[in-house]
Amino acid sequence: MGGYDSLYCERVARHCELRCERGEAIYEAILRQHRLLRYARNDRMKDINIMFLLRTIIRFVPIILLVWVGVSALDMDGFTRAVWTPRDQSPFIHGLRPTSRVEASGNAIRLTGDPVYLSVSPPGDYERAIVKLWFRSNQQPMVELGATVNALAGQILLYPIWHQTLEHISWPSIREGDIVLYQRVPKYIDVSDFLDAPPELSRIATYHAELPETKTLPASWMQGATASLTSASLRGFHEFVTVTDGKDVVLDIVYMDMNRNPGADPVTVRVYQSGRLLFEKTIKDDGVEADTNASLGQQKLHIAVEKPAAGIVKVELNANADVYWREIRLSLPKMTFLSNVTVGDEVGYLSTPRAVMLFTDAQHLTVFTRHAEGVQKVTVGDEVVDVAVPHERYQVESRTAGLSSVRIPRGDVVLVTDGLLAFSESAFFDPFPVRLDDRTDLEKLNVDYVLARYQSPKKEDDWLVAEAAFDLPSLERERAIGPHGEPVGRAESLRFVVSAPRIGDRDASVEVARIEVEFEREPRGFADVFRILLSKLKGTRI
Amino acid sequence: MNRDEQQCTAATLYRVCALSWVVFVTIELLRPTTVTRLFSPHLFLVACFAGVLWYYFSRKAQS
Repeated sequence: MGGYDSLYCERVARHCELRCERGEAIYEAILRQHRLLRYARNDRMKDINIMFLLRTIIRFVPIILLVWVGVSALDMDGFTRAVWTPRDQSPFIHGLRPTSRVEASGNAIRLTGDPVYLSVSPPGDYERAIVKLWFRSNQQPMVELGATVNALAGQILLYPIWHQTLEHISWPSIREGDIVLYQRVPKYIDVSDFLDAPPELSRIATYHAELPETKTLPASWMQGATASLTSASLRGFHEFVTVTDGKDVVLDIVYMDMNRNPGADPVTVRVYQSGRLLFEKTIKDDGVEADTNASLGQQKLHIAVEKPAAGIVKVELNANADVYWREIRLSLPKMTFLSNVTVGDEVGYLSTPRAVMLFTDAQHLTVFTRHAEGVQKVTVGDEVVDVAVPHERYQVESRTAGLSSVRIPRGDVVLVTDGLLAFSESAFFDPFPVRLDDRTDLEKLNVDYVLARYQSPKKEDDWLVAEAAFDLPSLERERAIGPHGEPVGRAESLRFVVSAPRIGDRDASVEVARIEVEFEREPRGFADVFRILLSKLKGTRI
Repeated sequence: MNRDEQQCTAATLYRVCALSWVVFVTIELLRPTTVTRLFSPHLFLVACFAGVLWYYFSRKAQS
């Protein structure tokens, strides 16, 4: 007890009520107590340190996670990838729908109907999305991947991802970027050479590629009497093409609004040339919006497009199913309808139905009627199709290439085709190359050249991997679909489409194992983030 | 271990976890990210309940 005298020790011991243990000097007792106090203080300090550390961790973990979430949400590098597989759902990719067209198949989803939709919510403001699909086609010759541009107008931007004909074609090919030219017998050195001086249109098939518009118009297209349609009534939307060498395009149309369905029935006629709108005229409804089944009479429409450039002209007759086009008279000799024609009934116009004759180069036709009165035997070429049940679709395949006649004894029939149609042989002309689809037979059609915008999918294990890039600002936004098929949130989801035409008819399927969506935009700095935050606070959009 | 310190740490745990759960759920609702999906906000809710229980037992032991 260096420094302490025995009196001091005794006073301390009395003060602290210390008791000496047997044989223990007073100063030893003080020393023992001093040591005990030090241990207790150390234990207490240790306690405080652990608890302080624990509290600090508890406070910092959420802060670190929050910063991580913030940086992740801001996406400074402008690249985010979302992945979906049947077993690993993504918060951004809401799966393949409708459920009636898809079924589970091990580690994949099997698509059995067409089309199948994929709703995707971008995790921010992105400019581009690259959609990658891991898939396998079982007996399905054509698969396309697209995105909805305008759902109401049925506008879908489609890109090819799988085409059996192009995968198996053995013709020599030349590639320029994503355009590929297949030639039965090599003649052209490169694609530009082909585009500069293409062969006859009937020898070319195109797939997602366009030929420059014909520079030289065959003289036969300008000859003959003026085309007119007075032998049949057409119902609803139709479009036809004609050709002019610079002469005015004059149209005289007679139509009737039959008021069979509730709602307004406006009529709009548009004339286009090389995708440019030359003329547009809209006539409002006749004032009867109820389903009275009575027409106020025949309406006449005169349209004149003066001094158009020489070339192909497309005319669109926009109207709903209440409008019947009774007469169409054109000042030019050719008038060929595109793909589909709805031959209407004559109720309220003629006392008896009349026979209608058409000419088509279609290889595949679907014939059906919507009314019991339309049940009849339709003749396509030399084949008789018994349209026996309303709404049932009857498929006809043309046995030969070239023009076939279609005879409809009582009208009131819808024709859906993969070709063109005219109401007289002399009015028919085909200004388009063959369109390569899932049923095109190149041998039968004597096609010698295929021009396609097509890239074969890559192979990865047992799967094919294809991708398509979409500019997001041009795509339509809709509300996302929740887990039970209900719309959720704001309209900010994109709707992608997997299209496999006629997949159900041929009992084929497409298996999808994985979907990846890569979202891209310009990288952002902290200054950009600050600017965006500021604009959001002010309520303006950048 | 000191009861006061334990009680204080337990209170910190449940308060911070409850607040974090609210913040993360709000983020998840406003704009889901792969991070909020990976770290489910409900982990914070579980930690919050653990904190409440710890707090309760610390108080009980002290009294």
